Amino acid sequence: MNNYLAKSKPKETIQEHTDNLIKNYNILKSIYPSLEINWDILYEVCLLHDLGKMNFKFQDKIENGTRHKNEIPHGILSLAFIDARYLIKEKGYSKDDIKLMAHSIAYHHERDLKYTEEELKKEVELLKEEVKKFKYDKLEHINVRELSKRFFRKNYIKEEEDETLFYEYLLIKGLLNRIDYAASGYIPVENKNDFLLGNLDKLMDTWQKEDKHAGWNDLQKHMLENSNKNIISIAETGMGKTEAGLLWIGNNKGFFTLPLKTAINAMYNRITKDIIFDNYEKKVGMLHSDTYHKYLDKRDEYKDIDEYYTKTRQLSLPLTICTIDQIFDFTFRYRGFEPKLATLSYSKIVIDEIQMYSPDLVAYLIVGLKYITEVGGKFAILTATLPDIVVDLLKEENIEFMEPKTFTKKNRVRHSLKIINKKIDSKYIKELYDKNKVLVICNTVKEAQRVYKELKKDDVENINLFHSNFIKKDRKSKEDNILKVGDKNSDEYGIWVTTQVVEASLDIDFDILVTELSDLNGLFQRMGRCYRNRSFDKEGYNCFVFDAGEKKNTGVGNFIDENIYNLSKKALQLFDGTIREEEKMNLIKEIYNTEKLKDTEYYKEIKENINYIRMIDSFEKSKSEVKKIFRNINSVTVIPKDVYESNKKEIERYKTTINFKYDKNLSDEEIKKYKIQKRIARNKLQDYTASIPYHRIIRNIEEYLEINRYEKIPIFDCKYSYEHGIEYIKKDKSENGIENEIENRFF
Amino acid sequence: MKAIRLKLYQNMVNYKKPTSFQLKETYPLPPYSTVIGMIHNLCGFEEYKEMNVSIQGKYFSKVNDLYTRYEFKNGMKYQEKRHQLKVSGYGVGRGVSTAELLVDVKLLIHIIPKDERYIDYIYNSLETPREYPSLGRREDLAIINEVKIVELAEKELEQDIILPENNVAYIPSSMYEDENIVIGGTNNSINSGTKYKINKNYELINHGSKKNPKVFRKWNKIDVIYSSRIIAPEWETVLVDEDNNIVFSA
Repeated sequence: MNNYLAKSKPKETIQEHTDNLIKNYNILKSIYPSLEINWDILYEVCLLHDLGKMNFKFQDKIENGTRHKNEIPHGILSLAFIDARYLIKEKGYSKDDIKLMAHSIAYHHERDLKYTEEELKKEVELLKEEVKKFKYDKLEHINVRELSKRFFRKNYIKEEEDETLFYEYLLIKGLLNRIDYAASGYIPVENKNDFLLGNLDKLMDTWQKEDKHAGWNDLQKHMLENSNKNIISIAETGMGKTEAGLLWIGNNKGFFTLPLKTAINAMYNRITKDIIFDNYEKKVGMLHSDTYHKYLDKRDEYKDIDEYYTKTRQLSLPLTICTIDQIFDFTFRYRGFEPKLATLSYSKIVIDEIQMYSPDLVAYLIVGLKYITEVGGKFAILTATLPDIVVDLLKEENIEFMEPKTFTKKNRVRHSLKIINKKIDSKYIKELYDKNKVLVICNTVKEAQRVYKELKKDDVENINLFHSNFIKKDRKSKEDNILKVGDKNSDEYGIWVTTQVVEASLDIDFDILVTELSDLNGLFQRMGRCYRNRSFDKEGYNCFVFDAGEKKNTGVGNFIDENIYNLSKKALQLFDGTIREEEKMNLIKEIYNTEKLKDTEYYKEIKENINYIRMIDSFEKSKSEVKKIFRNINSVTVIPKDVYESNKKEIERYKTTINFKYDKNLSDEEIKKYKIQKRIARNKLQDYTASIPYHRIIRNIEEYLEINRYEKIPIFDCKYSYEHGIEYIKKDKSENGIENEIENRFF
Repeated sequence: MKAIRLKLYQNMVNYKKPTSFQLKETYPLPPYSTVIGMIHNLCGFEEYKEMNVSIQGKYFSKVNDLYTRYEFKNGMKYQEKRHQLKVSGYGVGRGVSTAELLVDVKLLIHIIPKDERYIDYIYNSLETPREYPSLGRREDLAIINEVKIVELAEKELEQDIILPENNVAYIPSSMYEDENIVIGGTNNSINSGTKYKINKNYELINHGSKKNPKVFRKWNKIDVIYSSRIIAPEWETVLVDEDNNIVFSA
């Protein structure tokens, strides 16, 4: 008997690897027995998927590192182990079942299929010899023969050709991937959620110890009662949306999506502290582009950060808090999207703060929800305000859900609104400031910088500036500071001049809000940062909105839709003084309905994006292409020149660590240590970068920081300070006009 | 069922698309009508004998070449100053034009006459042709490498028949739609083939009156898909000849 290897590091035979798959198959089946798939087919593909690795070229590569030309991907060679005749005649599978198996196995790695029929024929002949030396107790029948082209011929199963088969394929292929990845990463494919409701009960118990009358509120009850349905709940800030979302997820696999990383970090910290505190690295994870970074910060607490990270990446944890781009990129149906959608088919997805998403993201969400509900997943939209337009679009897609329900604390007043028909004015802000907490929100970075500087000139004490154009390190520290001041129990005070980076989900509570008008939705979001969860019972005002009067606010006509801005402006003129939550929701209803918005760019963009995604063929795009579209990559990561100059030494040191070549023969432990060191160095380096709009870098990049042959980070010529962030230098005066206009678009 | 199998070779040939004028375009394989015409000519048939034909093959490449084109117009009188040729008082224009030519064409043709009694006659006429065989334009000589009477049978395939990559055929769309034949493209499109309507035979239809007849050919056109990468998958029942060649009978 020959030892055919499946993996080199650590060495593992095909049998051992397949055993691992079967183990995970059983885990999956025991946790989700009612999943609507053909479990027998899934079993067959788990068993057969890697048998093609028996071929000599693959073995030689694994064993001795020799690479052969014309090596046929093992997924294709594994097809020769599908004995169609036997499976149909003896085991009762249908022809479509065989097609399903063939496609799942052939594409279990996404590879270019460049081989010719002659080469394939030859390799299959050779396999017939190899298989004589192969024994595996789980494999009762083995017969190597080239699989008929009727089942697989380098094509894809298309949604528009056979919808049922497409969805069946998607689940089988996706789950095979999940099981295979889990087996390779030596983690369980799924962890059962049998704790969440219990933990929430415990949370309630502790609350009841403090207050005997504590209990779930209307929103939370509603979510709990309808946890088997797709629902939409509109609830004002402070209604306990996190708990509501978790109650709805219950003891199921869940994803909690939020628009901002900051918000995700905050929610993750809260959940792991108050709700799921025991063994949380087996139960809850957070997923966004900086996950590893965040986990590293806490690494003393985890036993094995790599394992925790792998589990998170592979979506195997019961509860994942994530950005929507981490899961909804599957709407593009890129090559290899199957595992994601297959996972969502038995998951419940909470979408929080949907009003924060730009039109393109709304479009992806809507199409995504269509697919998710189609394969059996459930969703709940939780939001402070809900544009009616979203509801209409969901209906247009024939997605089933319960009519939206609104929850407010009816008679409570949190805000008193003053509309000022002028552009934002620093004198005004200064007068409002009286050793209290003042939050100023501008539409653009440039405007925020301007206001800040004016205040500074007037020698106002305790002023701070916060926007997106800081290097990561500074941004983090500023964020910590604003959270500290914004904590309702803190007695610090000061003025914070910011942009809409603080608009959503940041748990801060200021006494006074001064803001430029962007649009109603944004305004109400911003008002949520002021008197977050307390009643306003004083005379006068706590929210001051500058609507620019006859003029336009910054950013309007660029990233702020001008029509919506004008509608918002008009609607607001009626208000002076206290405004109840109900009134806010009615206003939103009045303005953000399909009827009123049908001719706006906003609506058109959503529609166009939906159509665009629909027009893309499944499997047409690669994952990296989709990543680019999804992130809307108009931005570049750079190191500001000033930052580079003053941190040169450290940056060089990180570079050396990243490029350090360790001996491949070291022990696994040792290698792991180096890998973590590299990651830490990378993260530290990232701390010095900021991301800026693409058009900015023209003419302002003269040198690069070369990390290695493949990677370089531009060093960006600009003014940078911890105080102000990036300030652009204009090099070519003739383009001033355009620059100004473009500049206004970024916040 | 019996058929006559023909293996032909042509060096440079144009199978003209009926609608091409400025550039004389060519079909990638001879149309049914062209093949049927050649058979009828070599057999000396004066009227249409019903037959089915299967056409497949390959060519090496394609070139464009010049040829002399004569232009006629109904009733155009000869005008001296227009550089025309004088033909019994009428004017005929002469100029150069371009023709697409296929190079090194190899064809595998099956001829299945409806009336089996013609088998031997057709066989003999091809074995000892009464004049040089040509297919395409009159000057496009066809070298007959093989003429053979073969037995055809509908057979359930035990394994896939995969035509080599460069081999092409006209697949009657019925065969394709029933999935008797699949086209295995590596690319992402649904159909990896070209649809043609190929002339086969015609009836004469009089659109005028008896006295003043206006007679036109009404063509029987066959919907086909022209493709390479042709596969007849196992378990399908497909018409094949005794050497396991797929017969795309139309």
